Amino acid sequence: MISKTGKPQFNFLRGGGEMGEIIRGKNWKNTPLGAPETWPQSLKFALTTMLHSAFPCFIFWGKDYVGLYNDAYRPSLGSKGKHPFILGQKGKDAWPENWDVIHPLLQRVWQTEKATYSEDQRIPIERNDTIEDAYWTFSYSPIFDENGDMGGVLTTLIETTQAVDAFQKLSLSEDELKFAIEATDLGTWDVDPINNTLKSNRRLKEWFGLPPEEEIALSQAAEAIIGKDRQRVREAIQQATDARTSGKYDISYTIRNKETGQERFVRAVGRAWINDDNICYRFNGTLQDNTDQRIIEKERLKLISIVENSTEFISLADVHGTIEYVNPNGLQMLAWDTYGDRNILDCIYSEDREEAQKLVPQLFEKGFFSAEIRFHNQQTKKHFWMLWNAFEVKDPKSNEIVALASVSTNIEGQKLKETELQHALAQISKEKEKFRNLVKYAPIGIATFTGKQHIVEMANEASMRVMGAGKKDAVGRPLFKLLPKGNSHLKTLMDSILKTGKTIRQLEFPGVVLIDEKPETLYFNVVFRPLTDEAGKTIGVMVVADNVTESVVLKHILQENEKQFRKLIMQSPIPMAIYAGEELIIELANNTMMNNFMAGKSEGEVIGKSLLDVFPGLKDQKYPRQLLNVIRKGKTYSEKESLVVLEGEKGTQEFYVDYDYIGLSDVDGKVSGIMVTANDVTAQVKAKRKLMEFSKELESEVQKRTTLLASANKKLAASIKKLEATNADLESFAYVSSHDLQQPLRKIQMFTSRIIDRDLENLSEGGQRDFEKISLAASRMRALIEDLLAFSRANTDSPEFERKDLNMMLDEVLENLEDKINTTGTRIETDSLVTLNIIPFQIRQVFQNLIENAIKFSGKDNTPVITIGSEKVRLEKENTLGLVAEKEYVHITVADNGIGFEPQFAEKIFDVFQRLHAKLEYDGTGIGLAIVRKIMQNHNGAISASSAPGKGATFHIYLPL
Amino acid sequence: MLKDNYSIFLADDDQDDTQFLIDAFKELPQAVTVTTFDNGVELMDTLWKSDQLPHMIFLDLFMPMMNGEECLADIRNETKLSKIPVVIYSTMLDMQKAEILHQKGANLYLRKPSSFEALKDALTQCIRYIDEGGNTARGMADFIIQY
Repeated sequence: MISKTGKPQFNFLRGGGEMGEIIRGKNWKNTPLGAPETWPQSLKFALTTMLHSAFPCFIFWGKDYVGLYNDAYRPSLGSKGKHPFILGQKGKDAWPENWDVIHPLLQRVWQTEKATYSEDQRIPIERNDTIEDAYWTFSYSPIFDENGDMGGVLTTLIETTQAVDAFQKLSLSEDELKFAIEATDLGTWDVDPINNTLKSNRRLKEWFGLPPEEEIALSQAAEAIIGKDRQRVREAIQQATDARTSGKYDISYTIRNKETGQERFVRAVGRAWINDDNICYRFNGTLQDNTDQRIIEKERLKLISIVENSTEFISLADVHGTIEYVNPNGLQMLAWDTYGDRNILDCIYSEDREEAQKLVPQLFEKGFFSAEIRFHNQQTKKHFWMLWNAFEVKDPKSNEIVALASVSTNIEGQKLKETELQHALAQISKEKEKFRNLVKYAPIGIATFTGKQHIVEMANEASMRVMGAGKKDAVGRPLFKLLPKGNSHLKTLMDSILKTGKTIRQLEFPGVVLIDEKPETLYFNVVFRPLTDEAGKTIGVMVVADNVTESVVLKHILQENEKQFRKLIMQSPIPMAIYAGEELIIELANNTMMNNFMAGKSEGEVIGKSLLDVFPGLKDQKYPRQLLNVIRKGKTYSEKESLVVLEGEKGTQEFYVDYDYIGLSDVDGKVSGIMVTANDVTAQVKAKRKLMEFSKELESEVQKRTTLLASANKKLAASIKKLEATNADLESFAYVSSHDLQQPLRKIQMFTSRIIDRDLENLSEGGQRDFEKISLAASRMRALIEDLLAFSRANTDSPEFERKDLNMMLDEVLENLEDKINTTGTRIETDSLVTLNIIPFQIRQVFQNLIENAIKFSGKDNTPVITIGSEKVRLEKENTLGLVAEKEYVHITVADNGIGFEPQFAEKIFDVFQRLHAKLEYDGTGIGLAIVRKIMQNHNGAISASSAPGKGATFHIYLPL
Repeated sequence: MLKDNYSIFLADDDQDDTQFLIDAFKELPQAVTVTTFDNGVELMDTLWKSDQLPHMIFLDLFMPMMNGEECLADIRNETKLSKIPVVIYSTMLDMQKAEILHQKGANLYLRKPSSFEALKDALTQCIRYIDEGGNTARGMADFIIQY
């Protein structure tokens, strides 16, 4: 058949798609196959079959393996490659890249005439501009010709490259998964719930102790679950695999590897897969070993429990000191309800806060601090000692401080104990000291000496001291080189022991020893023991010595004292005796006693005999009882002037005796004897009696006189009172009567003056004169009454002395007399006056009176000059003024230049009512100077006057300083 | 300051002395109204009750029932009376007593003169004292008026 194109058409080349077309269109003449007409039938047939197969096929025809393929195969060639060149090409030319692989296979088919089958074979192929690795699943099968001989090979194939890649990738993924799982420390499990089998990874098998087979019975795994968890796990599995639930599985339980016995706490997490028939067909998941976590959790719980229950104070704070946690006991200590909003310093007792603030920075510097400080209980307000330990908590990775922690102990009790301990230690120190002293002073020395030289072999400290040597010095040296001279008796003794081998004991053995380089005798109770060798020969001496020097010395002293005591008693001029024991044995009676009280008896009759035997007469008297009392009670008894009646040879004698019974105690303190001292005081007693009688008489006399005196005093006091009362009466009487007397006189004057004023013209000259005289008389009388009053006052006034400056007083008086002074033109010159204790009112009167007088008696044509002088004087024994001799007075003089007076009147002028001039000449009551004198008497002073007619007068007043 | 009329209170139990005072005031140029009391009690009574207070009070010391010294004390204690000038008017002059009365607040001590003229003179001084305002701050020398 020839196609429309002119080429021949062959039926066997019919169809076949693209390849069919290519094949039909190809010029086969130059190919190894030749023209298609020449093709054998088998080839045609094979080709037809191939072209119509939807399965990829390739024919290698003939021994040249010429290639032919179909549409289905074509994709395998890729792009830019063999298509369509290899169509009709020889095998080795078409497939250089893999000919070494496929050729042998092709040959095998030619040889065996059997098909080959290769699955997922890797056969590289050149395509897509490169040689690609490809995988093929193919079969080379023989194509027989009509003769039954091999004609060619048919290849049916599938490229499985993708599948293989995928598979490889899957394998890789699987490996990666396994690796990941390994890395996660997880166990994996995969259960087939229908067959109850389990697949698991190596790790899980290890944990459960399962056999290494890939798939095992589920029950084997279940064995590893510990008894008490099995039911729970079973139920959880049932729950998860139940189609009605979500299928989720999450449970923790404990397993025990039955080989190793190791227990693990695991968490299984997984999922159940339900198929359309609501049956669980797969159940798988992971297993996590939470043993560590569990342990950690247990530990954590333990830790929390420790912290919560701790009796210590445990707290946590942030870096600023704000408290984040305080354990219950801590809260209790502080009596806080909560720790919210508190700072670590809030725990601290206010007084210690400053110190606390200094400690906190240390925390950041050193990382910790530990200090003794006082916390404060909010409720009881008490403070208590704590050992405050604080440290920083750091994040281990970043090394940042995340918190400040404190674990502190209440050391209050400890502090108290510390104080107690300190006391106890102090006490112990004291006791140690005491003991040391004890040892020092009462040592027992032990030493051994060998050989004739008595060489020191061994010596204890006490004995070293005695020998006066230190350790190094003594041992190995001869004893008598160490001791000072004076110990020859010791040497003799020790020599004798070497000879006799006998032990010698001595009490109060004296030895001369150097103390502070001075030789002194010490006394020892000593044992000298011989030291023998194995043969029994004496080779040395052991000395054990007890230093009893003190007691020996004391004993000597005591003995000496006793001797002295006896001597004293015997020689005493006071009668003394010693009675011993309750029998009152007369141990001792000195000469005086013998002579005075035991007259007539000899010593032999008295000494050593009982008192009552010698003087039976005493039995009925009080003395024996008193003596026994002293012995029994130990109290000293004394009596004075006791009457003793003694029978003697001279008859009954009475004595008065002062006696003392003094208890003499023994060493143990018991009174064993009495020392009697007696004094014969008979003479004194008698004399005293007489004296007493006399003094009694005297007393009664004195009493009588005293009584008289007392009554006289009483009378005097009464009189004084009366006088004072009278004085008071007198004063007020004088005052009132003065007033009452003056009143009418004044009225007389007044009325008279009115008459004169009113009726002057009506009166005759005589009448005027008479009235004037009336007035004058009245004036005089008034003056008299005034002066009498003043005089009376001077006598009766109760004097109130005041310390006054006389200058001031004088000035006051001069002021009062201003008018008079001015009208008369009086000049006054005055000395400076003293300050004195005076009655102001009265002294003013004195000044006033004297100055007024001086002005009054100034003389007709004279300008009065008054001179006032002052001096201190001391008068001789005798003076006419009656002043105390040798006492200091101030002598004030008031001198005038007036008319003066006759000296003979110097005294008289001071008398009352005494006037030297007629009334008309010089007015005056005559009382003035009397008053002045009275006043001076009141002051214990005096006044006198001196004058000569026409020469002025000087008045001398004396006042005591 | 001069006054139209001077009101004077006099406490004195002696009739004659009272009359002397009234007569003496009459003879002075100033217009003077004298109110007299027999004793201290009547004087104090009127002083307490009266709205019209005198310009000056004359007190005799020797009076029955209530003497001059006691009156002075009462007058000086009473606020409304305390500023009224008081003249002690007495026969006697005892310096000690006078000092005491001066301290107790008496303004003047007039010793009863023995002549009418002297009395007139003294009263003139008293009126001048009133005119000057009645100031008590005076020394003893100015306190005592005697002849």
